[in-house]
Amino acid sequence: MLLNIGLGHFLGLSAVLFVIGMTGVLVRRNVLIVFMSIELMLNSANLAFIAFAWHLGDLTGQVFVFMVMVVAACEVAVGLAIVLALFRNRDTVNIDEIRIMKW
Amino acid sequence: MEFELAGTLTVNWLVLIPALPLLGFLVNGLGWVVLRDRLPRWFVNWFSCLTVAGSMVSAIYGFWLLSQQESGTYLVQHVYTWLQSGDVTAEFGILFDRLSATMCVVVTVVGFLIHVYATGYMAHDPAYARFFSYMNLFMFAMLTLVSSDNIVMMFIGWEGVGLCSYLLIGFWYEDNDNADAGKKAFIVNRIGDAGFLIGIFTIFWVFHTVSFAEMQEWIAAHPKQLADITLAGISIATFIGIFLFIGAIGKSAQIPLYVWLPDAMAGPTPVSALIHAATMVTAGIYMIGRMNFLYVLSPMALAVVAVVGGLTALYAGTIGLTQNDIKKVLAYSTVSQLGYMFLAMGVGAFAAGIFHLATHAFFKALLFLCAGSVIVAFHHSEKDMRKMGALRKLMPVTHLTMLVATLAIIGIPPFAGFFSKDEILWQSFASANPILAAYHLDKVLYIVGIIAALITAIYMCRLIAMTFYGESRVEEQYRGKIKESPLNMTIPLVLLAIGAALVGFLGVSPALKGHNLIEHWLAPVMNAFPAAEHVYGHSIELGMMGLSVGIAILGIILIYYLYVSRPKTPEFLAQKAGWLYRVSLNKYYVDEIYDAMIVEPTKAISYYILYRLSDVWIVDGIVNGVGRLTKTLAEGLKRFQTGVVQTYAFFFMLGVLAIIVYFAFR
Amino acid sequence: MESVPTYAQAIAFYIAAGIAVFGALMVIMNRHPVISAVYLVLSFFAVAAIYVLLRAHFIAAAQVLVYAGAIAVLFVMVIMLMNLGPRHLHGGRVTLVKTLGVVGSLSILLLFLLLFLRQATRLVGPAETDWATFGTTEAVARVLFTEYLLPFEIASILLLAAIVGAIVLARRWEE
Repeated sequence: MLLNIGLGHFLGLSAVLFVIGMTGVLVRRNVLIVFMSIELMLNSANLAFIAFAWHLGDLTGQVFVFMVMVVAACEVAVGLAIVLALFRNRDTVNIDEIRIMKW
Repeated sequence: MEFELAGTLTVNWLVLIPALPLLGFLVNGLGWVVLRDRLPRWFVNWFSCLTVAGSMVSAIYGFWLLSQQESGTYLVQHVYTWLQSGDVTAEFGILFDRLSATMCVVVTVVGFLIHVYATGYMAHDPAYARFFSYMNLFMFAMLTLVSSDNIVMMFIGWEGVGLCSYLLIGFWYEDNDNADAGKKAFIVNRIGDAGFLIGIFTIFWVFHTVSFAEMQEWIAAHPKQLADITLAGISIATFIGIFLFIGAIGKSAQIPLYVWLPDAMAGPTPVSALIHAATMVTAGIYMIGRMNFLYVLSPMALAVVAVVGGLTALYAGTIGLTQNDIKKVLAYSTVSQLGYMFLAMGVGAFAAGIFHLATHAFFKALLFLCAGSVIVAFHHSEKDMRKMGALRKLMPVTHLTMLVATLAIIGIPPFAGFFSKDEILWQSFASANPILAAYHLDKVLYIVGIIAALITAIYMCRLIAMTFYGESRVEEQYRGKIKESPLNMTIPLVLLAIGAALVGFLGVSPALKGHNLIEHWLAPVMNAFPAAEHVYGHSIELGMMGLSVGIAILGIILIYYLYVSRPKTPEFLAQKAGWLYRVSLNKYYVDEIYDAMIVEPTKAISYYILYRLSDVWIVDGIVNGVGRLTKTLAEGLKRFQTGVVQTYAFFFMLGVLAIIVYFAFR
Repeated sequence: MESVPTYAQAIAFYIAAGIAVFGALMVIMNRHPVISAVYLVLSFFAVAAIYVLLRAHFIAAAQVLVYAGAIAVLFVMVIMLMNLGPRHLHGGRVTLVKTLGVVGSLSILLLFLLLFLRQATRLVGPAETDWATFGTTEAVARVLFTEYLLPFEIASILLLAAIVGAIVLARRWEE
């Protein structure tokens, strides 16, 4: 079981990485760390795709990962631009202090 | 009880009788609303009088046309089917049989004369167009009432006259007392109308129709069934009869719902003459006459009618003895005379009741118009008889016509009241109503009627004595300014006086070798009880006539002695009679009793239970409560929007958790 | 993976997985974002290694180039640009939401594992797969430019939009 690496192991790794990323999103106050955690989550999803592509012998999964990477890159670019603008306006990277849209 | 329904003749202009005054109402009303003061007085006067004249001519012509037909035939016109829903059909239709023809003629003739008189009486009033439009509306409603062929349309007219009564009593509404009097009339009427409505519903329940003709067909076809139907232990005919009579009690001011009529004297005198003497208050009597086919099936209901009528006749007379306002005396006199009419209906003498209705219309309207003439002479500001006196030389026409009317009402032959009142007294003595005869109430009611006749003589002579005879007690400001009224007021007075003098000859009893024309004329539409056990002869009838004339003359002599020769008598009697006098003057404190027992509790219930409890507490509570609930919920829910992104992410996570749980344990 | 012995694959996998997890944990646990970014790079590299294990050679290269080489570098550059000082970086308070968050995450992990370890072996893929060329650049490119040409082009438009958006948002507005 431990030696014979199969689909389950890879998916388990993907799950672990995903949960770690989720914890980071929920727990950390620094917006940049949160961003990075989001990247971790995306990465874990990629891993799952590749694992399935390997298991099923279908390259569609890898093409999907390609698209996800593109999207992640765009998202990081725009997101960091927003963070930068926010930092310039409010001089903080603390998520808890950015709460204008509240009741 | 054979009633020939076979003969009907459709005549297409009958609808003009009620419709012409309606046109008058619309034109005058719209003209007033649109043009206000630019609407010329002469136009309003002429137009309103002409529409009523048109009705009068149509009614008289219809009467003549009817007289040319066979006795069982009558004229009809179907105007419009108003509503038709399943079983229920209510129509606008005209029924012009001998009874409604008689009523229409009386109403239109008296109404026309009063309209002409009113052009003089209201000559200086700023709201003349409003007055005449209301008067025309009243004529429309009253004529609808008397000419309708079904009880629903009759009720429309019934309500309509009540409405116009309210509008006209409170005509000078700027004075609160007048407005209150109008309200009182309408509300007290309403109480009676509730009973009337129950009667209508019961009628529909039993007969499945509201048309008078169809009701009679039903009864003719199911003679046994009607006796078997009971409601709350009473036979259905009695039930319907009593409830319809409750409506009549309200409309025609009998005990206990008469209290609005004296207050109604706050309205202009032509209104008092037309509505509260000649027409509206007679609606109840007409109703019983119209429904006589049902009432003869219930001697018990008619017994109730007779007793109420007789008691009212006596009771109202005792109040009228002490009143000092000239119109109040006449008001109580009206209530008393209406009691006579109901007495007539109750003993089974329907034609006699209608006959007295007709004669009373003439002389009572005349009495009111003469009183109005006197009031106008004092520039509308004096109605207290203690401040009048010796007017007979200053207002000769008014004096003479009022004298004629007074002689008519107290029953001096050959004036009208003698024949009609005597007919009633005679019929009540010799009544064929089995219930009345069983308790000897027929004789008791006769005695009540005779006493009431004496009282009538006394208060009417007192009225005319204090106003026209004796020493002048007129105040300084009016001395020298009192004169006779203009022609447009005195000519109707004269015409009515002629009527009051001559109408009586329509009903001369066989005892006096007459043919009792009106009884024969109305016989085809009136049913009668089976013949009484005792049939009294003419000699007894003649004796009774002598008795009643004697009583009348006694009254005249009494008053002459007390009031004309000795002016100090009123105060003397007031002091001597003490508490009796006060009770009578204060109308037996009935208004105060009603106020305490009925009005105040109703107001308290309305305020505390209906307003505070139901409206404010319950309804507002629910409505506001819904609002408050929404607000509270929203205030609770809004806390989800913290603005902190991680909180939202937390909720995402919860969602993911839920999905995972679902898939893991499926 | 026929020619490589099983135990070797296992060792490779566990090492790479361990580094990836370690890197991820370090990412979320550091105070200063730059250090986190460096560990992020480490994690990316480890994942790239696993991609190789999974015969996704091209994607592994792309992972290194795009993720580790561009995204992470971008992170580091922006962090440096912001010049964060001590006053920007406090420790976090332990709040109820955070605790619950951790608890929830752990339970999700548990459930994931439950799910995967139970059902992972039921999937069957297409029968003929040329394992020799599986995951090579040529193979991926062939598929990318034939079957998935449209998404490819749209991705390029997306990149264009992102470029424009990033420039506009991060500009200094001189008044």
